[in-house]
Amino acid sequence: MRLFFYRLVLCLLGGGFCPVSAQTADTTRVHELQQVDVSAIRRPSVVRSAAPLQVVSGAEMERLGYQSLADAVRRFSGVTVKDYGGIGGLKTVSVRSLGAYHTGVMYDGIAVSNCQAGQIDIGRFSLDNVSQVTLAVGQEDDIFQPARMFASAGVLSIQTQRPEFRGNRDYSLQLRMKGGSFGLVNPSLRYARRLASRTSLSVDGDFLRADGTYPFTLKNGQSVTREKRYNSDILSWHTEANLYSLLRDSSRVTAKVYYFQSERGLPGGVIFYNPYNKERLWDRNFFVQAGYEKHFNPRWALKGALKYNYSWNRYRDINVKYDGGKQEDRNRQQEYYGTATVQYVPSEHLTVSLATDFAVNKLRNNLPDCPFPTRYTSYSVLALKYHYRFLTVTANVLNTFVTEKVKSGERPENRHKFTPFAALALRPWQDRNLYLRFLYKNTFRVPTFNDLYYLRMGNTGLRPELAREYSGGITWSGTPWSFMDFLSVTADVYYNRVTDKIVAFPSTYVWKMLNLGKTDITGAEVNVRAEIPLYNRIGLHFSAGYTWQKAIDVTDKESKNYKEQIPYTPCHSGSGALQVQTPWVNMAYTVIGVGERYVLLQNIPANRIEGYAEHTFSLSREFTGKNFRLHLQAELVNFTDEQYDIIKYYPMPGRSYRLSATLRF
Amino acid sequence: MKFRSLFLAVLCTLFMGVSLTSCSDDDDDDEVTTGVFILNEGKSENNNAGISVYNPETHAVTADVYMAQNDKGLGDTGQDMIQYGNYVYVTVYGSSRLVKLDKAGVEVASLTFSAEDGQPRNMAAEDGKLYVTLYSGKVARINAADLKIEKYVQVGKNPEQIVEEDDKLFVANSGWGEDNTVSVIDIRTFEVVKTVEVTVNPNYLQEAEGYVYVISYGSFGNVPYTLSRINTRTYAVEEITTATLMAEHDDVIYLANSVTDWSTYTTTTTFFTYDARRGVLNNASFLQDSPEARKLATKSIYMIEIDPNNGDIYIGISDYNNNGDVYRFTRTGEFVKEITTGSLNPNNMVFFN
Repeated sequence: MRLFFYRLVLCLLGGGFCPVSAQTADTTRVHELQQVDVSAIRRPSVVRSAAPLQVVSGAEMERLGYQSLADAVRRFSGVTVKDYGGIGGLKTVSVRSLGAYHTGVMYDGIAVSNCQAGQIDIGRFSLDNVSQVTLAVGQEDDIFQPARMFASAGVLSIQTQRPEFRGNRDYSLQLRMKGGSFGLVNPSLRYARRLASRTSLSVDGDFLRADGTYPFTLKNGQSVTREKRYNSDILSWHTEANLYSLLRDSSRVTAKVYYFQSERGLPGGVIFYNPYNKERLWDRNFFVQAGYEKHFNPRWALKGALKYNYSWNRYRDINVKYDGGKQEDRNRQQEYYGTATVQYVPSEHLTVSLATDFAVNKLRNNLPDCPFPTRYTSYSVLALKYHYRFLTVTANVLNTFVTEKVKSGERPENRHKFTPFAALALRPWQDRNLYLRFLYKNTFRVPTFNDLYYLRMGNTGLRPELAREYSGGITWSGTPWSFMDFLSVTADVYYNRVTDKIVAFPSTYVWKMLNLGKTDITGAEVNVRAEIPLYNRIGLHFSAGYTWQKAIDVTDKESKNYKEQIPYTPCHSGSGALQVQTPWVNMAYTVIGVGERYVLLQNIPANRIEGYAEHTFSLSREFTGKNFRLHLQAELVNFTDEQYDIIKYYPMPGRSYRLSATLRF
Repeated sequence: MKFRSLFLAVLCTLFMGVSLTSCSDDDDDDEVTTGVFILNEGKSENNNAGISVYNPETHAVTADVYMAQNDKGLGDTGQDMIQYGNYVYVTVYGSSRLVKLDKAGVEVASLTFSAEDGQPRNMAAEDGKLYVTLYSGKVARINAADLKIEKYVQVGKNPEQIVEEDDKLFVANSGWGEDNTVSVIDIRTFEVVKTVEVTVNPNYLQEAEGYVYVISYGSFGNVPYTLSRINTRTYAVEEITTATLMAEHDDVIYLANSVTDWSTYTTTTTFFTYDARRGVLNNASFLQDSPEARKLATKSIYMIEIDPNNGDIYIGISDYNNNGDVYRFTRTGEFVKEITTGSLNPNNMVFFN
């Protein structure tokens, strides 16, 4: 029972407690963690990280009542999530205003790619089986990684749960039922089985449906009306199977099969006087990936992975304006991907890694003049990490080579580029958890298939879009006052510059994609996290973040919007979370606040969109039986019923509730 | 309802001076009795179509008279605006509506098109009727007084502009690049009597001296933008030159040809005229040399409108991101004034006597 209580505490509070202490050997909790929860993923330290890093665990997201992965990610500092509203709406992540194209998304260590659109829709990822989400500016500190991880300006990494087995059992089962406003029904099942002493298999499945017809307030001049969002329904299904095996020679094998499908209405922007909308989207995504990792000795280690990805979508719009009364687009993308990384540790101070990735991406669609492009990309990176007393230096250079083949029409020139990264972390006093950190990174994003080939707009003459990042910060953690268990503070300032930005350039009736834009971004962000034990087993957890950003368009001196804030980028934004843990019930309150933004490039009142604050409250309790645990949770989302848009005329839901019950065997 | 509209109209006209000056950037007390409306198309999905009022004497601009007078927005994507009788009619494409305004910008009637009608594009007016092209491939005949749809006639795919000449309506069927016809409708029987083949993707129409002038967009690269004209009696078609935009005044067709070089990202626009009476192309620019004319020669031209009362030329440009600019020249091409309109993409103007 005692062990179980620890387990419970870890399960409930673990996310909150471990961030720093997990790697600080002088706390007792670390030992508890290692004894009890071996299968949990180690939570990286946000204080010691040379690259600005933010972490949220799956358990934490559950307790705080986050509705989706996008809901969790938008609370990170320096992040802009473009959310087109509703459960099925497109959600993309931009880190420090560089644009969503510069954000790499990793799912269990392997990059998720979309060569056609370039941006990854994180709306599709289920939260049900997520154990941890991290967001790193630049890249993660660990250099024993695939080369693609080094290739983006920011990395959003999603880790799924590993199977856990209680006692001597060789299986575990989790059943969860979630339901709530706007017709949300979301059951999920997770089953894991130990196949052999060091091999286990897990299977996840979740189904989600919602009619999404939520009410919203529409303001048109002086008239304010209550309307309903239509054509916002979603039906989706996600299944995934994972195999984990630790071989006799202590090498590790993992494999994953993933399938997702969905059908959703695309409600579009709210158009005054015209509610008609029949756009729909069907998605299917299948991938299989397998990884192998072996540490030969303390000096040499090797890891590699293979992935095949198939994604398909169908877009349909019904409107008399189309020939035959409807428009139907079908896209099919395939990816073959392989990666291998070698790590060598010549001395206790130095680690060197060499990673090489190769990817083949193909697109087929039914648009006229589809050139059926195939892209071959190779990435190689040489990275080193040097640690000596108060100093940690990480540096790498990435070599990217891209070549493309088309069935018809013009193809872009081969592209070849070296891009550097360097980070420095200093710990001036050995006895203090105070770090100074600096980062420089130069990255680029290649034009997407849409940028290059889409009907008349595409331009095969496009160059890559360049992003340069400079960041400096100070981090600290400790116990400044006796009433506090722990406090951590990170503060960073940054300057980014995007050049050769790929934008659609209007001319007489034909638009074209051009390398025209330039953006200057200056920003600062502060994150605080604290834990305060109140009484006996009652504790308080607090975290908050604030971001200030000035992201200005410096493309054209003659233009009216020269040096004005780019669209959908607030100057001020922040989020906060407060949890009260008691043996009887756990309470959580979260808030996210975003200041005013502009919808279009020109910063005039007509283009201004008001700021908003969204508050959520959740209550949860866990009951334990002899063989099971039952977790009940209720969430009141946006309880002040704030009516707001993230993207103008894509209203977000007002007040809503969600109930969930999770039964674990 | 009718009384209320009328009452509102009267009321608003009375208070117009007050309300307009209160909204204008320049703080002057000129009444906009004879003024100019500029339709700002806005940006799709932004519900920011609007009508700016321009005072040709003081150059004062009121950003959005429709909003000021009606306490609501015009809607999404303003497509066409014409003056007929004492009223102004506006089609709003995204919002799928037609509105009738008085000269103070007060809405007196409106019509919403159904999904079967399709969204409205452009208009012509004759004998108390409005003729509106609809993306369902139809032209609707609408009573200009009460905006009731009386009848439809099927034309080609995605019809764009429509003009009346010789008791016939001419309709450009663009088909979004898939059609190459102009439908001719007998205005009395309201039936298609002829389908004339022109260069692919016809969009713009003007009429002068027994001819209908057509600008076809061509097929984006293979066939250039083409100006041709149709004889309204024989339906014979003759190609004239390459042009991207036109306006007509006093039997002269004012033309602009904007060409973007995608290797240097530069746009070059030439301005020239066509004498409709004599059938002669005049390659000399209708703008006199000035810094503004030189600037326009490097921009894509979004609008050319000519004040029928005095022949003043208005040229609009847009970058789709910032509020549009309109440059005013005299009929002899002398630069008068640059106006910034209240929203994006100025595409139509009407001039009140």
